[in-house]
Order: sequence, then C-alpha cells, then structure tokens
Amino acid sequence: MDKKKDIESKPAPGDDSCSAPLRRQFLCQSGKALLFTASYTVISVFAGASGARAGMCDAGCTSTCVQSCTSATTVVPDECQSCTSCISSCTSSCTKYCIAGCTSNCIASCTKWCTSGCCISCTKSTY
Amino acid sequence: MINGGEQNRGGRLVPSKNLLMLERGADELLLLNSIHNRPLYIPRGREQVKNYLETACLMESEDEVRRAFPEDGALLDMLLEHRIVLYEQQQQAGADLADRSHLGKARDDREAMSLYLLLAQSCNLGCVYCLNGRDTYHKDAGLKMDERVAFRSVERCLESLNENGRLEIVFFGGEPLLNWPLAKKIILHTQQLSKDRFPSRSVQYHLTSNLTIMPKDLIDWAKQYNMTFLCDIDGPPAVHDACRPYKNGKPSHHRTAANIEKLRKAGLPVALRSTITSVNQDLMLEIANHHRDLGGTGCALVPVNPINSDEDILSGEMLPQAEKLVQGLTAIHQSGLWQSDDLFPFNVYASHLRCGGRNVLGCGAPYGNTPVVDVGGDVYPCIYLVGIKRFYLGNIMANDYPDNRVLDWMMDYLHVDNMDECRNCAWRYICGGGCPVGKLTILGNPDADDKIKRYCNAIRCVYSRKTIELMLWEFAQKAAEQVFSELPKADGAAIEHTINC
Repeated sequence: MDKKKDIESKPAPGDDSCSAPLRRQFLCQSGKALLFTASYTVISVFAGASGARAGMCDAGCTSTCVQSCTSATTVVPDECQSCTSCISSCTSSCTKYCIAGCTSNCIASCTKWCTSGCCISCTKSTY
Repeated sequence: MINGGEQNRGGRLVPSKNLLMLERGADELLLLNSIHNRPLYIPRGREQVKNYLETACLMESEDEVRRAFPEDGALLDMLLEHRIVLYEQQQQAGADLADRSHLGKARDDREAMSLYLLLAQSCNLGCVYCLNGRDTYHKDAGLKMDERVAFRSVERCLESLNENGRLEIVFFGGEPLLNWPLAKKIILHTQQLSKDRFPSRSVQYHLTSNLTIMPKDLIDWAKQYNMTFLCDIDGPPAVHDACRPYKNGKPSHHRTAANIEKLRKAGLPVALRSTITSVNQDLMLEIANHHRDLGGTGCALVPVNPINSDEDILSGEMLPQAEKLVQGLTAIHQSGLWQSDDLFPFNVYASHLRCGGRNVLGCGAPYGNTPVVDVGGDVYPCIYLVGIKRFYLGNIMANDYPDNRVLDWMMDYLHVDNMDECRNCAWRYICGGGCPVGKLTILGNPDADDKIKRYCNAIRCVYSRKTIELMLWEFAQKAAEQVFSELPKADGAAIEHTINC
C-alpha cells in the first residue's frame, strides 16, 4: 500500500468518528455506501437494494414467468427480527439476514446497544 | 454459527472461497462473494486494494492487520461486512457454503407459477431447429387439447399457490392459435374460478405464438384480459425465412411482422425472441435492432437447444459458437439499444442479483413452478423437457401428479454444490448453474458426443457468466453515479452519522 498518499488525507490517529473529513467517510444515501481515501474509492453496490425487475425467461418466453423461477431460486435469507434492536448477545447466534441498516456481520462486531440498527459509527467507536 | 463473527473477532482472515475479482480498464476492480451477494466496486485504487487484501490474508490475525495498517481500518470493515474476507473459523464452520433449508419450503409455499398449456401440438411452420419431435409431439396428427384437461390444469395450479399467489397461464404449442377457441374458454373459466374460489390469487395470460395467424377477435380479447405476447423473429426477413419458413417452405416473416404491427398499434405488448444458431450468430446486434424496429417491448436472444423432444440431436453445423454468442451479447449490451430490464438474458440475471440473495439452482423447474401440460394432460417440468419420459411428472387428470420424486431428483442433481463442474466455481451462487436444459437432455443420451456436451456446458456456463459480469459492471456503474451525485463538494461539510446499510 502506498501509505504516504493516504496519510496526507487521513484524520488524526484515533479519529474514527463518522464526522471525519470528507475524504474519509462512509456515506449511506439511497442505499449506497462509499469509502473514499487518497488511494482508493470503494462503493457498496447494493447495500440493501433489490435487483432490477424481472422480465421474460428464455424457454417460457413470457413477460413474467421469470418470477416463477426467481421467486423460488433466488433465496434471500429470512429477516432477522431480534437484530433490529441489535444487541451483541443476539448477534452471536444470528444466522439470518439483517435489515434495519445492519448486516449480521456488522452486528457481530458491534458491542453497543443500538436502537436503530447497527451502524458503522457505533461499531467503529468500539475499536 | 455461520454469519456472526463475534467470537472470531481478531482472528485470522481468509478470502471467501466464493470471491469474484473482476477487473476493468486501468484501475477498476469489482469484488463479490457470490453467496453473500453484496458487490464492492473500486473505481480507482485497484492495485492498492488487491495488495491490501492479499497482505491482510497472509497475516496471523485481524489485530495484526489493523495494527500494521491503521489507516485502512475502514477498508477492512467494508471487506468484512461484504464478506470479501471472512474469519478463518467462520469459513471452517461453513460460511462459504449454502444451506438447504429453503429447498422444500419453496415448493410448499408457492408465490408464483407459470402454467404452460400446449393447446395444439401441431404447427403451421417448419422451423429448422424445431424442438417438437415427430414422435413425442405427434406433430402431424393435429392434436388439440381438450377443455377438461385445460380447466383441471388451471384449477390444480390455483390450488397449489399460496393465498396471494400469482398464476400465469401461458398458451403454448405447437402453435396455440390453431386452438384459439379453447384459449378463450380457458380465460372465461379461469375468471369465473378465480372469482368463486380463489379471489386473492391473481392471474395473467400470455400467448407465445409465431403470429402468422391472427384471429379476428384476438386483439379484443387480449386487450380485455391484459394478455402479453412473445413471438420469435430470428432476424431480418432473409434470415428469419431461412430459419422459420412455412411447412411448404414459403417465407413467413412478412405475415408475422404485419401481425406484430397490428398488436403494437392496438397497444399490446409483444416481446420478440430470436433463436440463435450458426445461421444468425454473426447478426445478434442486427437482430436486436430489428426487434426494436418492429416495435418489440422486449428482446430475447436464446442459443438454440440442441436436443428435441424425441431426444434427437441437432446437426453440429447448426450450433452457434460460444465465443460469438458472447461477442454478440456484449455488443448488444454496450450498444444501449435495449435496457437490461427488457433484454434477455440480462433481465433474468438482474433478478438473480439481489442483495443478500443466492441461487443454488438455475431455474424454477425443479420446484415444479413451471409445469407444462400436453394435449393429453401429461405434465413435464419445463417446455424443453416435454415428451422425455424420465421427466414425466404425472397426468393432470390423475392422482399421480405431481411426482415429486422427479423434482427432488432434479433439485439434488442440479444443485450447484452437487455438480462436479460447478461446486468449486465462485460464480455458482449467482448463476445457479445456468439453464440446466442441455445438461438434463444429454444425460444418458448415447448420441451426445463431446461437441454437443461442450456446447451445452458453454451455454449453461460461459453465456451466463458473461451476462452476469456485464450486469455487475452495469450495477456498479449506476451505484457510482448515484453515490457521486450525492457526494458533497470537496469543500462542503462532512456528512455525519452515516449509516452503512
């Protein structure tokens, strides 16, 4: 990694808060997340959004039959109810897909009580 | 435990076994764990991110990584959250493998079905690649479906849907318009049945036809019941007529195009489909253009299936080449002629690419969601499998339907973690193994030589993979455009309390 370039644009050591300078922040608007540094840009492509609407399928040649297929084949794990209030004890045994702004992975590393979903700011503040 | 990583926190990091790393241009990178399906797009800094990823996974622990690269903590958070990297113990516990708990459930709780009714098994065209075998379809016998078979089929499908399920009735053939009077009876019967017994289910009607025939009342009925259409147009007139002539060899394009125009003028949606063979493989972009010119509401480009219902194999000279299919597909996608939502196969894979979703099967056939009923009531799981006895699901008028043993076998055989050629492929949880028709129809066929096997595998794999790759870049591009359009100017205020959803 080219650390020199990064360091120039980084907040002070230990500053992991979400109010860090613009060039190093997470952004979530319209379901997208962004990490922007001097060295790289990383964008979360879906971040909770569903894919495009379904269309025709090849064999059936219909406008909607693909839904018959994808409603069965595309498996989105059940929503995790317990995790919407997001406590660390519930996440350790969670194998579900989490809504409310959090994934089970981020919750897993969260040691704070979150009331509105697990966010990077609370996760990061525990490091 | 699979997802949670709390007790593993700080442990050794490993890349997902399902990790896709796509590169484009000078500096772009796309990372995706296909079982988790949350892509990360790196529009710049490809080498930095790759180096970080590689280095991080060589270190002894997450703690060591964070100490060595404190300035990249946020990057590691994103990589972990999107399951690009995992804790080694998570991976050992099976986090990179799909569970099977949903498989049975999906069949018991159907949201949607597409019922294919072969109203007539004969046809007025003589397509060079026709899938309807002479023996199994009895093509020359003029067979037509009986209304009792049709009504019972609709009833059984409505019964098997969940409370708010959706049934699509597809009039299919042969050429279904050779039995148009029955289609009208089915519509009336279904409307009454829905009203009386299944008021919460919704029903749609669709006609797949060569549209060389145009009953006088077709437009009126189609408008009244919101019918959709699909018609095969294999290219401009000369190409189409070479592939899809009348039985007597005369050209059919002019008649079909004229009837498409009538439907279009009436405001009815007609999607157009092209069967790709060696005849038109070099013309895919031109075909997409032609579909647009004809006023199609959708465009589908489908490589020919090499085995018909009699299990006869198409001449090898007729098969398109996989690399040409990929070239054509790429050219059409890049041309922007069609939105991906209206362009097969892009629309299908777009629906697969759902955040957090995964596909262990390539289609709904093993769930019994796309039953095909022939004129005598025999049911098969897919229109490409009609007449092949090992896929027979029973007779709709008898108690032997559905024979779930067949579906169970398909589900097991086609599961991406069971197929030798798929189980170690990082793409498998997106493509679901692709359309399995070729794989199923060559199974046990003594006439299927290596060329046919390679072709079937290429269609299932190469074609699917290229489509997904193009879709992933398209989604990434859109996400970047959206994010950057919302990003404050360089001298603006930082956004606070930003949630990474």
